[in-house]
Amino acid sequence: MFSRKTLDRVNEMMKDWEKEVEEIYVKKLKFGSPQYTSESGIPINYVYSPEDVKDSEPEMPGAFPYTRGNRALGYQYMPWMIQLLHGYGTGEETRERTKYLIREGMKGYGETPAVLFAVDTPTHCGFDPDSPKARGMVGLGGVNISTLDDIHTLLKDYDLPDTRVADNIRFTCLPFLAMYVVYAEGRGHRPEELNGQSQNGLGNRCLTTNLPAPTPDAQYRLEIELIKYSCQNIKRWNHTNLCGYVFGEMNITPTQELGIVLSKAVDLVEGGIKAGLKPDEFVPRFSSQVHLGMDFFEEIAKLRAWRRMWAKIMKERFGCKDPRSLQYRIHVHTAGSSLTSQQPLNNIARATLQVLACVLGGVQSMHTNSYDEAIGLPSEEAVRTAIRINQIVLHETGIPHVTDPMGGSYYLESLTNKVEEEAEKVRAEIESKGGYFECIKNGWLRQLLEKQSIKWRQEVDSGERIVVGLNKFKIEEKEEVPAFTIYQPEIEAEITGRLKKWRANRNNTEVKDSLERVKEAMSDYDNVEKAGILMPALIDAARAKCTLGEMMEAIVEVSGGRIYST
Amino acid sequence: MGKDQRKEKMKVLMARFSLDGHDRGLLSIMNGFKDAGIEVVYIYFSDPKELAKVAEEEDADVIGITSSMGQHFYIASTLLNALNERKINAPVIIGGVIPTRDVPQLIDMGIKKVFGPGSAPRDAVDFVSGLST
Repeated sequence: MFSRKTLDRVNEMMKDWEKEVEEIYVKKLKFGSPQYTSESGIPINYVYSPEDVKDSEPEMPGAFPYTRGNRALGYQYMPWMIQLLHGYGTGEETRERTKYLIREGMKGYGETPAVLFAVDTPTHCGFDPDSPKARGMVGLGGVNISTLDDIHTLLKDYDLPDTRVADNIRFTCLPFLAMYVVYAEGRGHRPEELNGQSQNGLGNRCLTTNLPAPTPDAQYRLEIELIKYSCQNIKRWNHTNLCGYVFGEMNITPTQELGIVLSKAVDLVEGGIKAGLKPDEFVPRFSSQVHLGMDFFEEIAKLRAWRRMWAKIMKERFGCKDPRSLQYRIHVHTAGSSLTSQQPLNNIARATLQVLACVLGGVQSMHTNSYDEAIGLPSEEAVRTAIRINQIVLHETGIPHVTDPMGGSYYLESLTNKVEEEAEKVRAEIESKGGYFECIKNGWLRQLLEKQSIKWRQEVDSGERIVVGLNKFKIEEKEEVPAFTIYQPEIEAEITGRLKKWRANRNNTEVKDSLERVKEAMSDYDNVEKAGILMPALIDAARAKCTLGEMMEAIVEVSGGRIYST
Repeated sequence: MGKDQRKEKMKVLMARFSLDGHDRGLLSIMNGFKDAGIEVVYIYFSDPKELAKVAEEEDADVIGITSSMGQHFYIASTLLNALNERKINAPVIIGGVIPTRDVPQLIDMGIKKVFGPGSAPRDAVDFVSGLST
C-alpha cells in the first residue's frame, strides 16, 4: 500500500519514537510498559504506522471483499434499521409495545414497519401454555404464541407484505413459520408476498441456554428444512439468522464468536447443497445477530473482518457469483452482558459506545439495549432512550456522512487483519473437529462456553477486569430503577383460557390425522437430502388448527431429544 | 439427617427451572462451591415437586435455585410448599435477576437468602460455609 521510500521514512520515524519512549518514559518516568491485549487476546501496540498495514490491499466500499461495506454508499443512502426485540405477556400487550416503539422511531428499511418480537420460553420450546411444563413461565420474557389467533392479535394492524415480521423463536421456528404462512393465507396473501425472517438457530440456542430441545442431528435437519422451504416458497424471507449474540452473552471473545458463526455457516451451506439447492439460491438470505461488547476497536474490526471472511468463504469455497451472496448483512444486538444493575444510568453510556462502534463498523440494523435491562424487561422510558441514542448518532453527530470513516486507520486496518487471522483459527479448529454441529454433539463448544463464562467471573472477582459500578467505583445503591414487571398468574390464566376455547372449536379428527402426517414426514426425513417434506405437513397441520406445541411435540416424538444437555 | 447435625462436607443442590435458560451465574457459583470444597449436585426441573424429591434423596444441606425471567415468586412458593410436604428443612437460597423490592417478600415466604444481580460467587460460598460452622 505504500512505496518503499515511504516505509523507509516511517521506519526512521518509528525508531525516533521508540527511542523517546525508552529514554523518557521508561528510564526517566519509570513507565511500567504494560502489554495491552484485546478482548480476544490480540497483543495491542502503543502506536501503529504504515508498516503495520504495508501488506494490505487497498479496498473500497461496495467491492469484494466488502470489508469497508456492502454498498458503495452507506448511511448517506440508507440509515441503519432501528429494530428492537420486544414482547411480553399477551399479544395485545406486545402489540401495544410494538406501536409505541414504531411511534418513537423503530423501523425497517425505508418506511417499512418492523415487528421483531420475542416469545416466552414455553413458545420457544414448544410447550403449549396449558402444559404442566409451562407453569409459571407463560408470558415471561416474550409473548406467548400457540394458535393462529395469537398471531392475529399480534399482527392484525399490519399489512403483511409491507411488514418485516421477525420472530426470535428458538426451537419451534418451523411450526411458527407454518402457522404464519397459514395466517397470511387467511388474509389473502401467498407465501411469496411475505417478508421477514426466521431465527432458525436451533443448535446455538440449545448450546447457550440448555433448554429442552430436539437432538443436534434433528436440529440440523430442521434448519435445512426451513432453508429449503423458504428458499423455494418465500423468496424475500431471511431463512436463517446466524446468531453470534448468544455466544457473546456467554463471554465468548469477538474472534471466537466470528469463528464459531462461520463454522456454522459452512455446515449449513453444505447442508443446503446436499438438499439440492445452489448456494446462490439461499446464501443471500442468511441474516445475522452479532454480539457487540465493550472492546470498542476490536468490535469494529470484527464487523469489518466478518464481511471480508464471509465474502471470501462464499466466493472461494462455495463458488458464489451473486454479489448478494458475498455481502454479509449485519444486525447487531448490543451486549446485554455488558449492562450492570448497579448505577443503571451508566448503561446509557455503554450503549452509546456500542452504537458508535456499530455505525463505524457499517452495520445494517441494530437492537440497542435499554439501561434497565439488567433488572428486567425495559420500561417505555428506557426503551425510548435506547432509540434516541440511535437518532442522536444519526442526526446530530455527522458520523454517518462518510462511509467506513475509520477505513485506512493503521490501527483498525491492522486489527481487522489480526481478527480475521484469529477467527480463522477458531473456524478451522471447529472444522477439524468435525464442524459446528459435531462440536455441539460432542460437547466441545459447550465446554468452551462454560470455561469462558467462569473465566469472566473470576477476572471480575479478582479485579483484573474492571466493570464500573460492579467491582470498582461502587456506591451505596439507594433505590434501583423500578423493574418493569407484569402480573404473570393473571396472564397465564387468560392465555390458557383462550387456548381452551381454541381447542374446543376445531375438528379433532383433522387435528389428529394431520399430526400423524407430521410424524410420518419427520420420520421419513432422516437425511437432509430429503429436505422439503416436513414443512408441507406442518402447513397442513396449521390449517387443521393444530397448536404450536402439538406440532413440536409431533416432531420431537420422532426426533428424540427435549432434555438434551452436553 | 437433621439440620443440626454437622457434616464434614456440605452438599448443595443447585437447580434450574428447565424453561429458564440463563445459567451463566449458576456456572460461576457452582465453580465457587467446588473450589471451596462444597459438594454440588446440579439438576434441571420442571415441577418443584421433582426438586423436593431430589433434595430428600440427596440429603442436601442447602438448596440453591435461580430465576432470571421473573418467575421467582412462583418458583419460591411452589418449591417451599413441596419441601414442607416432605418436611425438608434445608435452607433455600435464590439467585438471578431479582428486583431489590421483591427481596423482603421472598424472605417472608421463607427463602433464606437472595443473591440479586451483581452478587459475587463468594457471597454464596460464604453463606453456605457459614452454615456448617
